Amino acid sequence: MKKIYLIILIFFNSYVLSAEENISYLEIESDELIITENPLVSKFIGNVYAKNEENQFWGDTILINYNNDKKINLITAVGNVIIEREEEKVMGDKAIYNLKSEKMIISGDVSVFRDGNILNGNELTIDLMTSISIINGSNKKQVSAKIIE
Amino acid sequence: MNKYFTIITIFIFFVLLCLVIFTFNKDDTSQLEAKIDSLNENLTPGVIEILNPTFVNKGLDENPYEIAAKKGIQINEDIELYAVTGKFTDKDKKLIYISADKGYYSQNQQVIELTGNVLMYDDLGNKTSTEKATIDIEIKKTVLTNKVISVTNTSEIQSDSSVVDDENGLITYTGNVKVKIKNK
Repeated sequence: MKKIYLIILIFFNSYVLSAEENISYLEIESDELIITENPLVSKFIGNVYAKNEENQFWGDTILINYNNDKKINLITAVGNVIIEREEEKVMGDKAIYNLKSEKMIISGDVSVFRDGNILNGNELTIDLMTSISIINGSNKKQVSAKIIE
Repeated sequence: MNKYFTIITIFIFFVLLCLVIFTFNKDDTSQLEAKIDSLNENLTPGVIEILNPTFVNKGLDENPYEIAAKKGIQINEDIELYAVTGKFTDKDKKLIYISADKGYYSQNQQVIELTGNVLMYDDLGNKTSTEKATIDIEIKKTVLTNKVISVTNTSEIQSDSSVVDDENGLITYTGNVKVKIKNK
């Protein structure tokens, strides 16, 4: 009986620990925050800076949308957007980060800086699961690159 | 001769003693009169002190609330409250509890100003603390100023000031906003 109790206890503790490990935090600073209840949206206005474990965001405005369980499902940064992740820095006019699909789409006048190389385009899609990034140009602006040899 | 001298001495001593007692009594009386005068000067007409005042609106107008305090001083039509507690309902009929060191309740305008260790919380564990809050009971709007900290199960928000517009489902935090959101 004692063994069963011990096994249950160990199982429960490991479950609690693993659940705790899955928790992530998003920290945001701004001049103003407006929260609307229906639908639940948080709008950060003015000198916005946000960070989680992997990414840092800057923008004029950042919008956070929640799902029905009040968990964040979408982060949208608008205006003078800068994203820093790993050894990469991305600049653009707008960024949409879908937490469920773990995809980030940066649009507008996009520039990617990495290891001294610069990549310019109209839209950048980053798949955070596979670490695959695709940069697209537009009719007006083709993709251009400046690579240090 | 000696007898007369003794009588005169006793008489003079008695007269002196009376004079001394009279003088001291006169000082005490004038001090007392001065105290009464100063008390009269400090008394403001229309001020009433109330112990454990409670204000309840059971509300046919669907806006029930209760405000209580350890002590209240009624100044004309407004009441200064000390060690304030209270209960309000939001638009979803959820109870919001408040507590503060001091309050100023205007019955006519249906406004209560809270100062010092202001705390607002509900049954779900959502808590907001600030140094000053003004609650407009009729329009269900609360203005929080000075060091606003809101804590829920999933987030912590800090700001210089905040406005809670319950009627329109809108909360605004202004100045040095810092937010930490827990997300699984």
